[in-house]
Amino acid sequence: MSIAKKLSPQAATPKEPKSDKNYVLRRFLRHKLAVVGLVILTVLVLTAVFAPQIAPYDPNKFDAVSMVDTPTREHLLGLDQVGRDVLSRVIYASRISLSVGVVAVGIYVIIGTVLGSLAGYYGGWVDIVLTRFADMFLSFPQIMLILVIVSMIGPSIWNIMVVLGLLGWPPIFRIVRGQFLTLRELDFVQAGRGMGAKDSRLIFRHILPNSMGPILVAATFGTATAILTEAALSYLGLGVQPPAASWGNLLIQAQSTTVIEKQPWLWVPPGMLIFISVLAINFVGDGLRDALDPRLKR
Amino acid sequence: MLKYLIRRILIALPVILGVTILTFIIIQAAPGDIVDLYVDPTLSVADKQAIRANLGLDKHPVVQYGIWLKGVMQGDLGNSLVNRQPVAVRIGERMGATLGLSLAALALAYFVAIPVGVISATRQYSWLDYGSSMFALMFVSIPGFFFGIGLIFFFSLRLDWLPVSGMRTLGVEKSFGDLLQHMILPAIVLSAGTMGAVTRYTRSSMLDVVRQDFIRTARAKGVTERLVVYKHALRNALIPVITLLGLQLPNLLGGAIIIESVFMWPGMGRLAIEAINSRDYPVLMGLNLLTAVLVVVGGLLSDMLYSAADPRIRYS
Repeated sequence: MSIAKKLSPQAATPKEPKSDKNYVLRRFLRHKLAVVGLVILTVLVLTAVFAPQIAPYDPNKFDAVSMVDTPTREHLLGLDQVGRDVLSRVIYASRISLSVGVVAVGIYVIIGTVLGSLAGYYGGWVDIVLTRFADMFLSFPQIMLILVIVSMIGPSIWNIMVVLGLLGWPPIFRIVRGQFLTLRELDFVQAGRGMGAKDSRLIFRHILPNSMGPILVAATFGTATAILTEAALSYLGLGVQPPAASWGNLLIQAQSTTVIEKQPWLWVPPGMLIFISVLAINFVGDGLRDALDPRLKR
Repeated sequence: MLKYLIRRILIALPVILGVTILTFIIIQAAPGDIVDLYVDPTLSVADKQAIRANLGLDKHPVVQYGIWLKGVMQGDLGNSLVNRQPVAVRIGERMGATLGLSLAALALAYFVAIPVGVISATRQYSWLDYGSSMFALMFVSIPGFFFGIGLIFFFSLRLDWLPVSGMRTLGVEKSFGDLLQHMILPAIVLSAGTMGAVTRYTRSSMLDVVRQDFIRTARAKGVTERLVVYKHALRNALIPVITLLGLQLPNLLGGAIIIESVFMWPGMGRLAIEAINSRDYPVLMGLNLLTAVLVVVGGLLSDMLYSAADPRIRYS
């Protein structure tokens, strides 16, 4: 059935049948690590989405009854220093930490794709101007700039999403632009143009869908970086502010050696969760990259 | 070659300028200045204004920027608003600490990553390959501050092998051994990300090179496998890895910020955070200028190394 689709004259198909979605999916599934990563991520996302149902307690309520703060059967991860259930806080924190990553990446993928398409498709001075603009952003000392901006406009989850989103588009821009420069010259685009297709149609229906591969891979790895950055910012006090919990700001408590040594249930779970999420995302990214790579012959 | 260098530097100047302007704008846009934050709040408004005038904060923003820029052209970065010391001095006294830590981390990363990457590539699909690839991936995924806290937990608190924080033990005479003890953990954490990335990069670069025809030729000629790998393949595979080194230059400052916080390392990163919290804009401008320069120099260095290592690349 897929062969019939490829031969039909209406579908503007790319040269390589390898971009057929099923083929990519099968190649992806062959990577055991990638699949494991995907499973882990699904669990995490589901936990975040269903946090109110899964978390045993309200993350902001203080437990006035329990005698001890170490992990017990009632409080599987113990209580924090003011008496809130750690497990619930960690579960609710996943909502914030994961969503920051996704939203920030979403923002800059859109920006980067739009600008990259324009630069790659039209070329000429549009390309030159946009590329210089992107280079300028790339030359900025990233971390310093993020720190300065976030501390100036006030730390909040939305500000972080926006700042990360506005600063992260150049790599996507480059990828999309590169794809466009290559694909623009290929036969199927020339044929479309010859048939009188409008620019927008060519861009959106033909070239862009075939560029999705590298964009997807970059976006995946970008999410990992975004989550790590949010965690670091929150740890420094410049990100999500308490009492809202994010995995990063839950680690602020671990700044005293007493806590580090005597109350590991406070800092080990959030840190491990950041680690596991990012690891899972990296697994998936690796799998995607290998599955989408047209050159790999395994 | 010289013309190319000069052209690159000239292009970079507006970018550096742009960075300083942007930083300045953001600082000005922020609510509250150092007077509001650090000065006794019971002082009268007039007194606060007097202090502001003293510090030069009452002038129009553009004028303030102009004054700063003029100073920079003459080599004067201004004075810190917090303690009136010249910015250059404040940065200078912390620079050694950060530089030392970053260089140690960089050296550690590369000295471990390159051999591991090479061996990983030559013994592809072996346990060593899978193991080191997994470790590399983990190093890249773990948040630095968590890794740092974890190391402190194990080595400082549980095992008591190493000190918890700071650069030197108070009251003890300065010794290299003491410094080393304090430096090990932060250097390991700082090197982790780079180590993981460079390992993966080296491995894939080696894999690419080893598949090429000239390697087949060398083997066909009867060159020993050792020479093939360590002389012919490695040299070519290292080219992109070496150029990566230049691009790490700006990270020497940025990456250390978090680690310095965790380990209380008295470096430029901590200075940056203090300056941000106190709105000490001369220090911030100085730091940003420095970082922007590092970014440019790093890129240039990277390109220079690339053209030096690969005879096929020459810049006109």
